[in-house]
Amino acid sequence: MSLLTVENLRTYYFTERGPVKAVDGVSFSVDKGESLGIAGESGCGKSTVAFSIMRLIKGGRIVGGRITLGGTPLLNMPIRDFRRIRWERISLVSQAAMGGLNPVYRIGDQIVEAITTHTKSKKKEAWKRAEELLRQVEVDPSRAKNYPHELSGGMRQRAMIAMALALNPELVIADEPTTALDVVTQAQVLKIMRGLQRELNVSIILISHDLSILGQTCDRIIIMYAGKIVEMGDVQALFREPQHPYTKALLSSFPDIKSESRTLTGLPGSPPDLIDPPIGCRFYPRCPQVQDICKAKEPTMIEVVPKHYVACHQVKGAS
Amino acid sequence: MPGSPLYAIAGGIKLTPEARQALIERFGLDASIQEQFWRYFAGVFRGDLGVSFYHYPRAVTAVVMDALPWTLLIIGSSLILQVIIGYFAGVTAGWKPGSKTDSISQTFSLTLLAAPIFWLGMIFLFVFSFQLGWFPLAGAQTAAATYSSTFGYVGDIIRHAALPIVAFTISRYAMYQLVLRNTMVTTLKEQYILTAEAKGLSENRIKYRHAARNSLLPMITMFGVSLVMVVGASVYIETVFSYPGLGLLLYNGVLNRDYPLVQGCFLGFAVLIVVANFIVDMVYMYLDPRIRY
Amino acid sequence: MLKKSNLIEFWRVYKQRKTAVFGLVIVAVFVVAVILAPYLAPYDPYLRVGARFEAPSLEHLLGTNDIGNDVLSELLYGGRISLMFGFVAASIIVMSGSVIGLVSGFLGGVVDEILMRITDIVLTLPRLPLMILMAAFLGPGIGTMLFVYCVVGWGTLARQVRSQVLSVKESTFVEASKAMGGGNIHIMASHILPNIIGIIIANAVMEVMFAILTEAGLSFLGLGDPTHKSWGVMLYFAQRQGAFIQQAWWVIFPPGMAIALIGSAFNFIGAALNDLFALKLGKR
Repeated sequence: MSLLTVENLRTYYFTERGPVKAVDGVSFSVDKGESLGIAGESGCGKSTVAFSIMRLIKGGRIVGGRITLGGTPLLNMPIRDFRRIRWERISLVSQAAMGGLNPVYRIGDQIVEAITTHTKSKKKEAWKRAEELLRQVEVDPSRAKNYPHELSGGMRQRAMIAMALALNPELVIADEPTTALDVVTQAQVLKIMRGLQRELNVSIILISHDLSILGQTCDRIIIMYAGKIVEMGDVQALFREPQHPYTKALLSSFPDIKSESRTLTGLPGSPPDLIDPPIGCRFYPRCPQVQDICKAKEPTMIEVVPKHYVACHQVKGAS
Repeated sequence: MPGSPLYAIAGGIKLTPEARQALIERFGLDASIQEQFWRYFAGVFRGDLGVSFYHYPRAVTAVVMDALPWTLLIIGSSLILQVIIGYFAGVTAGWKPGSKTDSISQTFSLTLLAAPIFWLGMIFLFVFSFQLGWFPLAGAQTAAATYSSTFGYVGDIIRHAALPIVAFTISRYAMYQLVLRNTMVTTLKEQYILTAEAKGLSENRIKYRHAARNSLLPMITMFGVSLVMVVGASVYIETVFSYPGLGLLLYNGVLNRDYPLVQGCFLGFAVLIVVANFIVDMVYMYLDPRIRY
Repeated sequence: MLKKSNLIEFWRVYKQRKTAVFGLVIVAVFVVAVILAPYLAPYDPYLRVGARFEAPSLEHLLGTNDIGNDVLSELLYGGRISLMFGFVAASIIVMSGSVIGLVSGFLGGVVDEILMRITDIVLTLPRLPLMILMAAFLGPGIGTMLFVYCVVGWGTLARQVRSQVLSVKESTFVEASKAMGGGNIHIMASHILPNIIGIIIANAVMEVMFAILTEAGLSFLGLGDPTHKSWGVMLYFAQRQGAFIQQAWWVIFPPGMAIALIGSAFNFIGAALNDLFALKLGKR
């Protein structure tokens, strides 16, 4: 059962030099209780997709597409009504290290704010709930009285997760939640996220450039490049048998501590200018398997193997 | 200091040698400089700032204490108003930077700040006191008046204080508006503002409780720094409106070579500024939890 | 830094801000007007050419003052004094403040400590009373005003320049010292100077405005020279000689308006310069 569907989403940022086509025709869905990862390099549009779902695009606009949550279309909803969707049904976990928490209010107060804005709870009840939430993310509830700067990086991130879960949302979008944390803390936070996700049956969209954490934490994964999805499918299958040249390149650029040593391959070149992207497949300038057709026509998404989709001319579709 | 104190005291009258000697003894001018300094210093602690030359035989402390409350009234009230108005104007402008409201208010503010304080005062005085007669022409209260009630007295004081306060406020509020506006623009780029919006908070809540609240610090800092200029402002405003505050007292004191009084005024201002700075520090600590001890 | 291409690019961005261009135009107009005062002014401002407080008319576009001088002429000639004071005072302050800031930031150590202590003192003392006090001893006049203003006014610029020097020092020093041990001083000169020029120019513009305002204020308080009537002196006489009672708005409004106009012009220019230089530095 699909919880969230995104159809042909197009979001552009408007700059002096012209519109930047950050997300240009992206379609996918998220099931209830599922954990979906979105991967790609900087500027590929993954964060833009996330913020589009929450209608938080600054300096740009969603110019096309449909997004539905549990059947309800989101994009045309008046903003006043949409504010009720925010946090009650979809919430956001951003990087606490980058200032996701307001430094002048206590952690507890910030969680309470979310609760009292959306429900009729009194401050006292809300505070109790905040403490309980903190307990769930393995943070001592008495820390609710602290300010963000008084907590460690890992604690702050977990506090943000607690805050995101405050209203029992159906979907949580986590935008690079562990990027600024050290590996040990990262593992801890991810473990808690995974645990809570299963326990509460919450859907998660996890955005990261780090394939390894997506591999650990997600059920399905989307690989994005230059504003488009290039490959999508079950995470284990995709990692074992990547189809798209870009995915292959991404995977081979990650060192694997267990396998025998090999040379890491990077990708030559850099992502295209999204104001004026290349005609045809956007990856063709860097693709090791490029053919003439790639420069002329944009590849469509085909289902290679059940539930495994690729957009590439070089991949034969399942017959 | 040039200009013999005797000259000031005597008010220009030629002194006989006996009179000279008497005055010297009376004012302790025969003691050495160190002695005079220490005597003054000790006197300050006892609340004795000497005797005014010009207002002889009134003590400096008395003269200063007559004037100080008036300055506190108009300058103090005005400063508070400046901050409040600057706050709201700045938050509004900063919330939508680059918009028409923002550009217009920026331009307006920069123009306002370029106008001399005393000239703005003169305009207000001219239009509202002389032309329209809505406000009195000078002073802090109507001389030799009796009032039926305290209410009448307070009303009179307000009528006299209103124009100086308005003039000073309008002249300087834009300083705070500009700082706040610029800080807001930076603050709005922070991640927690995005989080706040994602939380589905109302626009006003984000604007004031998140954005504005985090933009206050530079404005408060500027307030602290600009306190020094308050002395100058009070001289100008009180001169234009003939308002008997510390600024006017200081100014006249200098012109009359009334050194003890001038020193007393400096001291008075110093105390006001120190106290104000202290309050600013307290406010600062309250606003920023990161600097609590 | 002063290459032609840089200047053209600079102008292109500057032009985008309408207020900044407007400011430049106003300043230009004022400067030209006061330079051409002898040709533009209908009368000699020190000659009695009309009755007291004559209202504006075709003969006297801005009316006459308390002793019958033509106000428009006063305004034009007075502008010379006010503007010249502004530019001269600002130049002195910019030069002294920059040197102090540069030396302090560059040399660091004891020199920096001492200079900064002095700067602190200068910055914390109330300026106007000090100026009035000093002027009381030195007697009124333009020279006195110039002197007292420059003595108390160099602090902010010194501070600004110093902090800019320090931040440049931080950023290039390490690279420079690694790359070319002995050429340090030369590199400092060729790296630091270009970077502080921006902040000096932006501040210089504001300093002109402050100087003009302060001169007006001091003159208004009676420290100016009645034989060299600046705009401030005009207001001094307006206050003292009963312009209010006579309802002579034409004596009160114009001088202040002139100050406000050229002051805001400088404000616009200064604000634009500040933004531009901040952008340039941000791009590094």
